[in-house]
Amino acid sequence: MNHRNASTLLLAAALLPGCAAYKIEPPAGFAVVHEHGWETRMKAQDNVGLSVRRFDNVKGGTLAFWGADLVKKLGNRGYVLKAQSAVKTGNGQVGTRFDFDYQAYDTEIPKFYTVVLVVTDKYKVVLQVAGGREHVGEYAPRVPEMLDALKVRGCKVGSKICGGPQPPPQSTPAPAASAVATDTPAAVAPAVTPAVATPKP
Amino acid sequence: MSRLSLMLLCSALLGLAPGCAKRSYSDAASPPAMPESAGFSGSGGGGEMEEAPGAPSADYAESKKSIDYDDAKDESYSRSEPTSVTAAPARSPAGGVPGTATGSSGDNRIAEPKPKPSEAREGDPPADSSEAKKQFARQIIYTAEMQVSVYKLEDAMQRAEALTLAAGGYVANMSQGFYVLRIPAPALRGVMDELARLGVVEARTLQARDVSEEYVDLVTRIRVLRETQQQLLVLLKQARNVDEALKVRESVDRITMELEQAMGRLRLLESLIGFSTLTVRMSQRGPQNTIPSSNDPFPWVDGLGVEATEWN
Repeated sequence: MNHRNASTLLLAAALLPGCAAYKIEPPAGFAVVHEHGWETRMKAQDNVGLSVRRFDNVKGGTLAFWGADLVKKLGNRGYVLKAQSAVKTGNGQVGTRFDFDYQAYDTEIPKFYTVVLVVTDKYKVVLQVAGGREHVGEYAPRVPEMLDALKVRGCKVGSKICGGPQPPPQSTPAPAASAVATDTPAAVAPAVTPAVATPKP
Repeated sequence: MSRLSLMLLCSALLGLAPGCAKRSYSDAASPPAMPESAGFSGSGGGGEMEEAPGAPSADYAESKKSIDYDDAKDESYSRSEPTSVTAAPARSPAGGVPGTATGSSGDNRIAEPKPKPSEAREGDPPADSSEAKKQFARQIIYTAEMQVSVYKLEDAMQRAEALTLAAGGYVANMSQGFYVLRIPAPALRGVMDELARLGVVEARTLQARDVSEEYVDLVTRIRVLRETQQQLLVLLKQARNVDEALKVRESVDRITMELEQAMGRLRLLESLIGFSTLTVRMSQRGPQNTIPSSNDPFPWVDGLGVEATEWN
């Protein structure tokens, strides 16, 4: 093996970990229960779940496009959007955070669901946090900490996708009367049109 | 009465048995209690019976016991009229539910129903319209199935069992996430609604099978068989020798067996009518429970959500 081949191998080895779409370290209180190249699942002691999933992106797929797609489809499934804000991952990738309330049809078990969408040229990366509504006060403020532990890759040099505009304010259909009967004041509020916060510099 | 005429009468009774349906229900319903001295308790009858008291009298005692057993066990049979089923699947409480009829009245015979308006005899008080309605009420067997996805399987299973017991039902079969419940028919809908609150109902079916015709047929058949049985027993008392007694006894045995089969079928039918069968399948909610977007070019969101995130 000559010097040139060895350099190529070393370079490839160095770049290999960088090919992963994302990397996340378990935040405090979470442990990994399942991990694939495309998905990492973690659980807390109180059954709150944290997962990161990777999807391939396609041409034309921007943060605004996928953000609207996400909210619309979750809204069709009964999710109620409570807040929307711009966020950044640990390595500075810009994404959008959506906070939902959810009560599965025909049940009286309220849930919270927070999803952060980050879109790069190659991938859509989604960080999800979900659990019983009683835990929302504890875990919603910890989402920035979880994002700090997340690194998302897949941006090309001079990309127009990475760092693209935020989705416009989204909204979901107003929940049915029975679905809003929860014990949290925020949940009884009508469907919101949340303001988009600017990401931290 | 000569032996020949006794045999002829016996044959005629057996032959005419199915045709006796139009006789008063009460005749069959309240057969005269057999006196102990009638020769069934082993004390012997008249004539040649006394000459050979051994085997026949022992058999007669056994026959008497089996008849009493029929009467005593068939508590559900003491209902005064067929169960009223007017609004599916709830049934009128007055109809009584098999298993809840305790037979406390002590009268275990077939109770006398109100005569049908068309059969009302002159001088009889007018039949109560509600009673008449019950008499013609439909007998329906309800069978239901539910498939529910729940967040906490163990909790949901415990709750399902508690709901069943609270409704007066019982668990007929159980395994992990699978229940076969027997629920009193009037409580079926309520229990199904409560079970639905444990999670998300993925599938739900309810079947109703009308068995009114079979029910009425069985009741009539039992009444006729009882009448025949009683008439044969009277003949048995009049038997003057062992040969006569054995021949009548043979007929009594056959009728008793038919009666037993019919009553067994009626008990089963009443159990099925009174207690609906509810099969419940429970599963833990997971990514498979998300609602797929039909014809969606970008179905990626189907794999997201609370279930997918909480899934273990």
